[in-house]
Amino acid sequence: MTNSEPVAGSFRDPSGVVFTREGRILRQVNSVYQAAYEQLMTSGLYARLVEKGALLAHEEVDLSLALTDTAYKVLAPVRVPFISYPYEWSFSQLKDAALLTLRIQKAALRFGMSLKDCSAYNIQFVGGKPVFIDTLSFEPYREGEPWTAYRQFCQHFLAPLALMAYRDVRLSQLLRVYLDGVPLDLASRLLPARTYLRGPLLMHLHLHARAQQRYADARQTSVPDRRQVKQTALVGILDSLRAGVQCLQWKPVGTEWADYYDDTNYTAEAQQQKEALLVRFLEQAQPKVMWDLGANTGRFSRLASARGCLTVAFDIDPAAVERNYLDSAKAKDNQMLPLVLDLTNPSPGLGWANRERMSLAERGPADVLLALALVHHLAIANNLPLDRIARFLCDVGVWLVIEFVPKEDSQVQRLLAHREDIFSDYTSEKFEAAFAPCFEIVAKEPLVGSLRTLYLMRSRKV
Amino acid sequence: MMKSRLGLALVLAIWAAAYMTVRPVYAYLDPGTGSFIFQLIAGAVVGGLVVLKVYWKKITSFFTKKQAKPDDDEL
Repeated sequence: MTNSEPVAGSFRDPSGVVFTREGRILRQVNSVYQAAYEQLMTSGLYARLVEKGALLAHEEVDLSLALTDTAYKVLAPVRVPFISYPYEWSFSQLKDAALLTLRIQKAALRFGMSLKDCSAYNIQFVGGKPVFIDTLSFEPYREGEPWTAYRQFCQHFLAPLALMAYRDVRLSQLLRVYLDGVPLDLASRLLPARTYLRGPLLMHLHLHARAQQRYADARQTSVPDRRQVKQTALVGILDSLRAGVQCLQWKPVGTEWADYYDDTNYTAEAQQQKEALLVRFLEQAQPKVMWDLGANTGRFSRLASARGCLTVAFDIDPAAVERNYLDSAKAKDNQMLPLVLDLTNPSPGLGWANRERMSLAERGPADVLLALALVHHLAIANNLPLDRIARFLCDVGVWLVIEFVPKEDSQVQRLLAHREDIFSDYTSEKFEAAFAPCFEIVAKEPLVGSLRTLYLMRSRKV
Repeated sequence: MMKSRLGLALVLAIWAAAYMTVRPVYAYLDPGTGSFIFQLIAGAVVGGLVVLKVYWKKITSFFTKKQAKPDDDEL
């Protein structure tokens, strides 16, 4: 009896299926995809894309490992250490993913193939860079055929990026509602009029949306028989999409947290002590994966990523995440994965049966959770009882490095400045008592120059 | 080249603003047909630009005698 199960999000494409078998993630290639798979592997396209780090590498494994009898091959892809989703990416992450998709499509055409779908979910961040993960997305290119994934590219990439650049960066959250990308008529209505002056946006979003509307009821219109899009036209569309994506800019300035470190009253000595303590705790916990909850621009996260620990640095502020992503890319930090997340409303299970896209908790547990200067935001700004915070953290992590920020702290006073203090339970004693059922306190150190305390805790579940 | 592109975009923009204000779509529908037909038109327009660009590069490289730069974006 073997323990094989298809991955919940892998069911749309009849070419194959991703499944787990005894803890391994495998991809079955079905017989119907045989010709396309052979072309991918023998044309040189696979080798080229893998060499350039654009496509996730795989090895072929024994066919007896297949999930069903429709299998032609079974592949073991390189494992993606943490699955993230487009609604968790910052502007530049989505932009880099878009540009990679276009580069792959252009390369595919050179090798006589084409991407049959262009979902943003086909991209994952591995080693700090976007990588295309869906080996079965390539189909043989037939001269004259239009690009089937054109609409999907516009919906998954161009529309959200344009909305983020021209309207508001928080509109990336539309991707959480519209799993097949932002509908073009919606994007067109939300975008400011000046985007009509940008050739690629005018064409691929506004006019494209209008064409969809016009031909929505196909009974009333005759579809042209001569389905001819020359290859030069396809390359033209790709170049135009690339120009459209490249011209979109967003600069993370003037938001809540991006200037936070300049705004705090820590002394250099206090910072150094906090960093040294964190390093000590990390050495004790020896994590392979750390989640930094409320990472800001990743100053403390870097202490873990620099030690070769995969560090997922979550923050609610898209500007902080953007800065972290750009800084990490510049520093070639290949263990850092900055993501946008509102911890009080973390990514849920989405899509068909709520199982196509995993919730945050399903992607855990992390070896270490880092919760610096976080607990007062949850407990005071969001009225979350301390025992509930403890229970959630216990669900998603094994070790916990948590900073308790007492009520007398200037940052907490700031939160309480314009509201009634209804938080009589917010004391360090009650904090420890609330965490005690879930966590054992391993170490507890006061932070110099402040009234704060840094704890190392370990889940009692383990 | 840039100027002519901007001019083209401007003309298209005015035309689009006048005739193509997008109304919300409520019906269940398959936007694939519109995307498909639109791709034929868009492809014809930008495909023409690609051909022009190739000729333009040939002409400029003839006069400047420079080798065409490889596309550093290419995989």
